[in-house]
Amino acid sequence: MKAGRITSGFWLVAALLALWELSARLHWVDSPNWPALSQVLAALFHDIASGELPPLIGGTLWRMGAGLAAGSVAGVVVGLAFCLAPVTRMLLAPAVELLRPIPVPAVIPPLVLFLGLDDPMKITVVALTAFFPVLTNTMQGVAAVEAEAIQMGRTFGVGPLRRAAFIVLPATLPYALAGVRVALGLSLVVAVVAEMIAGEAGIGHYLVMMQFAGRAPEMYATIILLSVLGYALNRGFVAVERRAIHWWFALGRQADG
Amino acid sequence: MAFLELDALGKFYPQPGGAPPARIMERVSLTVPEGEFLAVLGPSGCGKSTLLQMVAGLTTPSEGEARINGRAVAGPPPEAVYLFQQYNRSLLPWRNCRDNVAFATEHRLGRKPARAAADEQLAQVGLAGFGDHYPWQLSGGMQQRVAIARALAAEPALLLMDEPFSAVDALTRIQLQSLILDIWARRKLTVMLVTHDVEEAIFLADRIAVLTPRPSTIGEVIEVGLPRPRDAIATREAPRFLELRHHLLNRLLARDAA
Amino acid sequence: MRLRTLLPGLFVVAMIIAFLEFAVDAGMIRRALLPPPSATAEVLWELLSTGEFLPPLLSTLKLVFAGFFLGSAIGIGLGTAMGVSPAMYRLFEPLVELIRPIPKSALVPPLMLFLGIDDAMKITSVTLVVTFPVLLNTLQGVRGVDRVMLDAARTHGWGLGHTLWHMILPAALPFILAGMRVSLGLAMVLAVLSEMLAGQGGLGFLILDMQRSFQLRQMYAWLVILAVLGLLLNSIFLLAERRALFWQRR
Repeated sequence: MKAGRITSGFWLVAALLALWELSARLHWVDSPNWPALSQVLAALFHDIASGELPPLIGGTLWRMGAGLAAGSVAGVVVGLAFCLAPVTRMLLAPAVELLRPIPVPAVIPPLVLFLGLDDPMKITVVALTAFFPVLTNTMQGVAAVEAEAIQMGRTFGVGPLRRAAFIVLPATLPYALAGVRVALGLSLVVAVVAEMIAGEAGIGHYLVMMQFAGRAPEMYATIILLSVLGYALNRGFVAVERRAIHWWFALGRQADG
Repeated sequence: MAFLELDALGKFYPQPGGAPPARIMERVSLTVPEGEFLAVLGPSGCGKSTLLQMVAGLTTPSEGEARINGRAVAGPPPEAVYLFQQYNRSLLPWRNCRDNVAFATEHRLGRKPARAAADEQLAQVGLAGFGDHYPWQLSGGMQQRVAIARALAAEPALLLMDEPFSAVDALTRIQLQSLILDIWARRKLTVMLVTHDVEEAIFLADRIAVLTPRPSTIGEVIEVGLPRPRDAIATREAPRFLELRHHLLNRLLARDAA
Repeated sequence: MRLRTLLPGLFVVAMIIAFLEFAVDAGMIRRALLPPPSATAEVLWELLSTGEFLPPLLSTLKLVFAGFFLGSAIGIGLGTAMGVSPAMYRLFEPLVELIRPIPKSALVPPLMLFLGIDDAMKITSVTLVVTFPVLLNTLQGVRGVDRVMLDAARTHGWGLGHTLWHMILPAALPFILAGMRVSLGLAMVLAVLSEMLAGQGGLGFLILDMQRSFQLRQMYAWLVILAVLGLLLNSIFLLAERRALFWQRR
């Protein structure tokens, strides 16, 4: 599929990009909001080379990473607890399920009151976003652990904690990682959204500032940058995943539908 | 004293809505001397696996008890190891063969000695040099050999086998049966095998206990009386073998039809 | 029976609310951060009983529905076309792969420049975010249809339309619905976000606006209304999905 053959689709993309360039250059679309692709790319390189964007990227990635890590760990821990100690599930699942359907941007205003406009608030929002997919997948993973594998542990006299650590956890890992992969994509988006709504930091804030300032090339450059970042993060994660759970891929299984 | 005793074992499941409980099995009593190879033969769905799980301490009997060396089974007994039908589910796909075998003992011996012993066990089931392979890189028969090696690593006195060869092809099955007989003789194990395969039961066992359909109980116990060591081909052609096969098939099929 | 399993958990939720009430009352949490839940409940009751809650709710709902249906239609249509026709797949696959990683929420600012701050902009952004999960899932579902089934259709002499309607789409339905379930959540997110960024009305705008004007009881009341809306939409979709896929249960 990804062979180097040039298909009709490649020409479609090339034609659309050319149309973008020409429509701006030749003033077919005459609007300050419609810069040429080349101007956008020039703005992107300029803002990176001038050192304006890199620290913003770093800040956004830091908030994203911290929130993703916290949310993922919480998702795995709560997921394991819900499955291995059903009492916790009975007591806490309804509270969790009541929080789940709230659209994330809506929790930002109240969180601002408690945590302010800066990192703690944004990291919390990202963590909250990452938590749910990891929780759901972890619980699916525990449910999919083979009963025979656990009984096998019992017949050799392996205790419950060791069984949890050496049978349940590794068997659940592919599912949890698939959850983290979904959460990774959401985390970047939500980190940017939080920056757009509150505070004066990160790429999200820069994006909104460029919109207000009417600097269209910079605005589109930021969006391209975010797309590339999201794509690269996903690719990087998949590569790590393939190494960490190579056996899973060797079995040809899939954790997410 | 008998090594393994089943004393009026029974299993039933409560039904919702006050209906009488579903009786799977009742009054199963047997005595197995040390070193015997016992086969439990029965049609599908008669609760053979449940019986074996009760002996293995993986399922609690509803009535009666199993005793090993005079001690009642409550939880997996240290003397016994259970060999699963579904080797692909009981082997851990994230561990290579060596580490899978080592899993049986590493919690007692520590990782290093367990691994060293694992290579030894793999060699004994004809898998020398396969320690670094992952189970899913091997054929079904080889995977079941890994599971056997893992069972042996725990040095059990009692091996409980739940239709261990039903998921492999016919020729591999014959090879694995000979392997098991070989190991049984060398290690002086006591074996309780559960199967629906008449020929397998005759070929392997000293005695065969035949289960009736639900609620199942022991219908008869037959002495096989074929000489040992047994041969994969010649034993299957012995008059006694064919006589037993006729008798047992007749019995199982007639009961199935009824 | 299901209610009984829910009860302990709901009791815990009630205890948490009661504790918050007590904590605010005892001064453990500042009223400037969290008004007592009872005060929020009062405002909530007022909004509900006067019917004041309805216009903003409908305004948000309109965005979610319009974007959800448009995006689903595009996603299912294009996904099916790409799944059935290799030529369509070759034509659109690179474009889809190119647009897919663009964070749709980041497109709200440029969309505001072109479409203004009205419903057109908001519905467009919701539509964009809905389209891709539906498209990719439809594609996966359609391409995953069993070859044996397709061959069976051909031996029966079914035409493309008949095969599509009676075989391919039903077989792909579990995937399509799973994609739509994900998209429904994203539609809510984008609707609320675009209301916040291009504030004119709607639940998202009100929540942010009440916070900025320090009317916290109102803010929490609107938040509760939004949460209930999310819960309802999600539950309704799950119910519909389960009915549509009745044959899938083993």
